Amino acid sequence: MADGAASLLPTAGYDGEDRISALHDDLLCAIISRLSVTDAARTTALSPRWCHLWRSTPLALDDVHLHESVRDAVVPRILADHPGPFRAVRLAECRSASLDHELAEWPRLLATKGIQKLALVNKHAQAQHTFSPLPADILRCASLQSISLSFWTFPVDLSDVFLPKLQSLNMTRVDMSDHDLECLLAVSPVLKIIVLARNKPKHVHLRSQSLQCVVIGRSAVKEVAVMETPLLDRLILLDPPRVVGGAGMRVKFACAPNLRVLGYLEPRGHKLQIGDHVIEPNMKASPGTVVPSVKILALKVNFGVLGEVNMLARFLRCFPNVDTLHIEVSPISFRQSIIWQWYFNY
Amino acid sequence: MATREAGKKMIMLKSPDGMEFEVEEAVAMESQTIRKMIEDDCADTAILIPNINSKILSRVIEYCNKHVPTTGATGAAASDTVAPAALAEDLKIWDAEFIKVNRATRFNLIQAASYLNIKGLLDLTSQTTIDTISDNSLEEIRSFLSTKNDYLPEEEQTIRRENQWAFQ
Repeated sequence: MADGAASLLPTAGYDGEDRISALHDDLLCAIISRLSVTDAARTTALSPRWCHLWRSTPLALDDVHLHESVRDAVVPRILADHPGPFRAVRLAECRSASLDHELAEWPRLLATKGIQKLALVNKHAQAQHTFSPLPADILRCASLQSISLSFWTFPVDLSDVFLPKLQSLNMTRVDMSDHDLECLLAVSPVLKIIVLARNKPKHVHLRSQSLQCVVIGRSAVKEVAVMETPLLDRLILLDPPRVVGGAGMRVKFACAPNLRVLGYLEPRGHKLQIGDHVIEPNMKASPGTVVPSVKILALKVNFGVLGEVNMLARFLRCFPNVDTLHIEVSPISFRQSIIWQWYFNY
Repeated sequence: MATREAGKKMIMLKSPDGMEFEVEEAVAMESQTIRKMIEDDCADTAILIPNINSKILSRVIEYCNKHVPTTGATGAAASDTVAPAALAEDLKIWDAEFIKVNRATRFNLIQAASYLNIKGLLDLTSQTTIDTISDNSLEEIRSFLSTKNDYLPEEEQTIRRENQWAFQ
């Protein structure tokens, strides 16, 4: 192998031949599809060989690559002029108000041009208390495979919404009801991944025949209920609400036969419920209070608080088949550390 | 985890210039094109790989050998003892060395990766070209890629005007 490789090392790096233009259109389009939208559009002027290629390449547009001075004017032009299909569009910098003004039908256009991957970050609404409504047509793009939404209010009317190809859903700071979220899950038959952060729903009830991974972070969620998710493999909870003496977040398992990875459970912030049983520190283990499929478990515990340590021991008994355990130790106070030192020394 | 050691199946690949390469089936199946042939039972004896000469084919096999999961050329124990991140880093360094080839070879590798449908190799071989096009002026790109500008000056002006925003 080494000999063969050695004979192929560069002898003449530059031979002056236009090898790239000899590549097949498909390959040139593959290269163009990996360029920023500005670089991709500029290739049209390289030579007549390249002239039509950008427009034949599925559009990849991230408005961060457009110069600020032209962004609001150019985004509607590209959306209108490019014949599609739209492979990936990310609009985070341009003003949705200006887009509405220049190209009122843009949400419908995304649907007709077969958008596959869409990210809409309504950044300019960030500082406001109420976010503008997400154009309802966005949720009627049947070609969508991945959607990421930030700083929007959910449309009131979710009737006739159907997302037959949607595999990944990511929502941050979206005003929506518990019911909206349940509807969205119900109309997405191949949804695999859902990521939720700082949204309005207080109760996340997971019912999906396709869902494999759920990430919930930094939310004021009161309850995450895994109701019926036969394929759910990973449930990741990040930063539950800090609760002093309150109920915290209830994590309820009704039916998750294939849940393999679960974390971070926090005895301080989480109330665990398996079936109808709310797990209490002194409760006896029984077949009804275990989730046998979990193999990887992560917990966050403050060992300075006895109640948390007791609860940790009880939590562990709910997952009898864990083979990898991650325990993150919450920072403990100086006073607590003295007590622990004393405990370990004597 | 199932062991792959028992009964490694070998596949013969033939280049149009008559060279033959015997490779493990798992290595050959890094190519989605060959995988499909094997799965469709079209690979009983030798598979002729058209349009890819032996020099390029040997390099493609070298790449696949390195990238086939769990059976790295450096030894079976590697994946058990080395963290995945370290392995990925090692592969990245290896890739960077692998792609230090002249332009003719690189474009031949792009074509081979495309025909054989090896996504990782296509990404790797295309990246140099992508880097060349990114953030350089048209004149620089043409010079780096030896692309002849066959536009009449007025034609080029028209094209530039159409997407003026991209040239500012």
